[in-house]
Formats: sequence, structure tokens, C-alpha cells
Amino acid sequence: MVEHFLARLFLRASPLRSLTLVSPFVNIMRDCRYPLADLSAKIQAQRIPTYFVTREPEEAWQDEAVALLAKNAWIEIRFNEFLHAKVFVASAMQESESFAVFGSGNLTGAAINSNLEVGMLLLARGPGRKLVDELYYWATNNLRVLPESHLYKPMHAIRK
Amino acid sequence: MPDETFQDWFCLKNRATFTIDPKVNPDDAKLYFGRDTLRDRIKKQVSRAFIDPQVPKMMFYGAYGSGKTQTLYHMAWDMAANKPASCKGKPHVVHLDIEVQSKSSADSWHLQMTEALEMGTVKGWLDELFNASKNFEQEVAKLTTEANLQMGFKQLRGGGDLAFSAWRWLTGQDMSAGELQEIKVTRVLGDVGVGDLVAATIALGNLARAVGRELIFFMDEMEGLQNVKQGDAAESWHDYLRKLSDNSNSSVGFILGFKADTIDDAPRILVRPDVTSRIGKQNLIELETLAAPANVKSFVEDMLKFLIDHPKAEKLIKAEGLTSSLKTFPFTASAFDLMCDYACQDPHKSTPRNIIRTINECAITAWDATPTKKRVVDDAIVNDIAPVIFG
Repeated sequence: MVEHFLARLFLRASPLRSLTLVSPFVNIMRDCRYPLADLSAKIQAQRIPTYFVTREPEEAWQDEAVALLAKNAWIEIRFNEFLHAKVFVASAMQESESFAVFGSGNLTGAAINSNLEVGMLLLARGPGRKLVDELYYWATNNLRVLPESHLYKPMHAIRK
Repeated sequence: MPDETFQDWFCLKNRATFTIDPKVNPDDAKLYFGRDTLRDRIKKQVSRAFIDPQVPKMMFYGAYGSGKTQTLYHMAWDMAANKPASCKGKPHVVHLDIEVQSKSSADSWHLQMTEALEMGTVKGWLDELFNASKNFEQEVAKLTTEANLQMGFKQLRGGGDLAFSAWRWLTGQDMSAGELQEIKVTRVLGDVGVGDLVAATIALGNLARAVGRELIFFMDEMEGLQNVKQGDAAESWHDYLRKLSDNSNSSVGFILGFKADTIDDAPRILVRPDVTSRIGKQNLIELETLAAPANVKSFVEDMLKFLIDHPKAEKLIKAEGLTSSLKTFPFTASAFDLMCDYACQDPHKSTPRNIIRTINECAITAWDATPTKKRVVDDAIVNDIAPVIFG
């Protein structure tokens, strides 16, 4: 389901207001259709304010991924050691184009290619709107201001 | 205080962050900042509308983030909390975001409106009418002269499987000849045109009024009508709206919201002269961006005044010698002015949504400044955050 989120993110043209990625683990997703480097490049090119919450890396592969994202001026990174949730929210300028995924999959190649994961893709239309709003509100506001969510790297201001 | 929360830190009243969203927090519907003149104008027009044409018929448009959703939710809240004297019944508001596909026609609009109203609500009203009247048939006949609609209402009140079929019929869904025969109606609703569907909607409004309610639909995202490409489909939406806008409808109110930077960008279906002349041009209202510095300041001051626990903030400012005044807390005076300047640089972006987001993000940045957390937002923080949002 993480791949579905990324596919929708890459293939749909709606301008985004923000992107929120909540995933306890992350790697560079080298063998995936949408590797982390491409995601970061998209964020940079389209200047999408992005909030990424993860656990502090303990392994080299996590370090590598966080280091890649940390180079991006449009990404804020936070570490939260209690994080277990996996939530991905793309908030579009046109609200009905927003979408979200929540489930068991991390932002890793294993979650996409080999693990058995479940997840639900929600579109901000009809009854899905309220659910996407709730996830956005939680991930982009409440989670980020928890005392346990330590800022690792702020988003740097860049004038267009 | 390691356990202190963001809410405590910024003396927020009953909320975790500075964000406002009536869809997530229904209580936020009561908030309407910095647009007192517009709010007063809307209130007056709504109050007048309950006298003639007896229900409000209005449209709001503006850029993304200009406050359409907040305006619609606030209006609905205000109608309930401060019911205009001219409104005889209890307002029954129904919120829905209209979905439109390229081939959608008015059938889809009618279906979305009736489903948002809900079968249980209408059945409850019919039960109320039944319990309050000696002759139910006579009462139903007062709601509509259309025999099929009368039958639909009676079947719906009767309950069971037939009630379910009757509801499906009232929503305009396709039904087999057998199903129609079961509920004793002679045709699918809408088969003879849009007027059929509008007659059902008006009958629902009459039913609401008969049991002391005023039925008002708040419909957002009508800009989706730009997607309707087929001529016949577009005409059916237009006919439905024109008939609802007409003075002959004095039972069902509607407030529409749509994204349009200027009125020229509006879906033509909504703003053709035969519609705007019926609802009255004064009821087609632009939600302007806040653009002018005075408007932004007034918006932010109003917002902070409401969100911040002032006695608590006052104590904090004194106790910690913060470089902030009660009026601008958690911003320093110069950071407050700076943020307002940023917000005014591009009139297209000086929207309530962007301003609220900037305030929240500035506060989060101040909160992040560990280990020496600052309780105030200074110029450096505003210079970091505002360009991302307003740049």
C-alpha cells in the first residue's frame, strides 16, 4: 500500500500543500519503482513542505536514508522513539485531491517488495474526506508537537 | 517542566495547536476572525432571506484557503446558536462536499443531497408528522400535490423493506418496474426531467417545515462542475439550480461554496444570469484574500485573542520577562508585524489558511528550539517559516 501512495504521489499532477510521512523505519528503497532519492527530488523540485517523523536510526541503512532526506531543504525531520504508526498524507491545494495511507508498512523496500503488509488508501472524497482530514490533523499537528517528537532537522526557508 | 505540553507552553485554551478546522473539531465552527463586516453582512442577508424568499439562497467563492469552508460551517453554527428572529423553525443544516464527474448530471446532485440528509432523518420527520396529526394523508397532501411523492412519503413512514425502496425512489435511483409497483409509484423519480427531482427536494423542505424545521443545504466544492463537459449533463445541473433558486422554492435553502479566483473563473452553470438574478446578485459573495496589512493584523489579533488564555499568558509574560505583549503573544511585537508583512506580499496567498498555518508553524519552531526553548516567536523564526508558506 505504501507503493500505491507513492504511485499516486508521482503520477497525479495536483499541486500539493504539504506532505507528511510518518514511518518508524526508512531506507533508500533502492530496488523500488519509486526510490527515496526520487521522492526527495520530487519534493525539492516541486517545493513541497514535507514533514517526516521516524525513529532515531540505529542501523547504517536507516542512517543512509535519513542523511539523504536531511539534505533536502524542504523536509523537516523529527525522531520519536515511541513511534509505531505508519501514516502518509498528501495534502493537495484542491482538498478533494488529497489522499492518505495508513497501515503496517514502513517507508522501506521490504515493506513494498517482500513483507506481508496491510494498509488502506483513503481519498478525500465523500466519507473519505473526514478521515484524511483527521489523519492530516494528527500527523501534521498533534504528532509533531509531542514532547517526544524531537526535531532533528528543520525545514530551511527558501524563497522562490 | 519536562512534561509541559505545547498547549501549556503557549497558553492555548482547549486545543492542542493553533490549527483551526471545523471538520475535525466541530467546535471550531463558531470561530470567524477578522471579517466582522462580512459576517454582519451575511447575518443581515440570512435574516432577510428568512422573510423573503423564506430560506437563504447564497453562493460564496474565493481562492484556495480563502475561508469558504470556515464561512459555511460558521454560518451553519450561527444559524443554530443565534437563530434569526425571522427564522420560524429550527434550522436543520446538512453539510456536503459535492462530487462531480465529467458525465454527472443533476441526478447525481439530487442523490448526494438526499443521501446527506439521510433516510433516518426524513423517516423521523414523517413519524413526527404522523403522531401530531389526526389525518396523516391530508397532512402529506399539503406537502406536495404530486401523487407519487405523496405515496413515496407514506411508504417511507410505513417502515420495512418498502420504506427502503421508497427512500431509494426519493433519492432518484433507478428501479425496476416490479420495485416501482411494490411501492405504488408510476415512474422512476426524474424520468420526466429535472423538475421531478426538484419537486421531491421541495417536498422534503415542506416536510421539514411541517415539523418545525428549516431545511438548509451547505454544499462545498461546487467548482467540480467545471468537470461536466457534456452539454445535456451541464444543462441538467443548471436547471436543477435554477429551479431551486426560483421564488417558487420557499422551502429548501442552499448555501454553495466554490473555488474561483475571480468570478470569471466560476463554473458557468452556477453564475448564469438566470440563476444570479433569481438568488439576487447581493447573495453571490466573494471571499476576498486578506491582502491589506490592516486586514491581516485584525485577523491574527482576533485569532490570538480567542485562542490564548490571556490571564495565564499575562502572568507568564510578567514572570519570565518575555519580549511579547498580551496582544501579540506568542509573537514579539516586531515578529508579529513581520509576519503580517510576509502575509501581504502576494495578495493571492494572503489567505486565512496560510496565515493560520504560518502561526502554527512559527509556534512549533519556537517550541523546537531546545534546550533553551523560547516561549516567543521572534523575527528569526518568522524569517525561517513565512517564506516557505508565502514565498
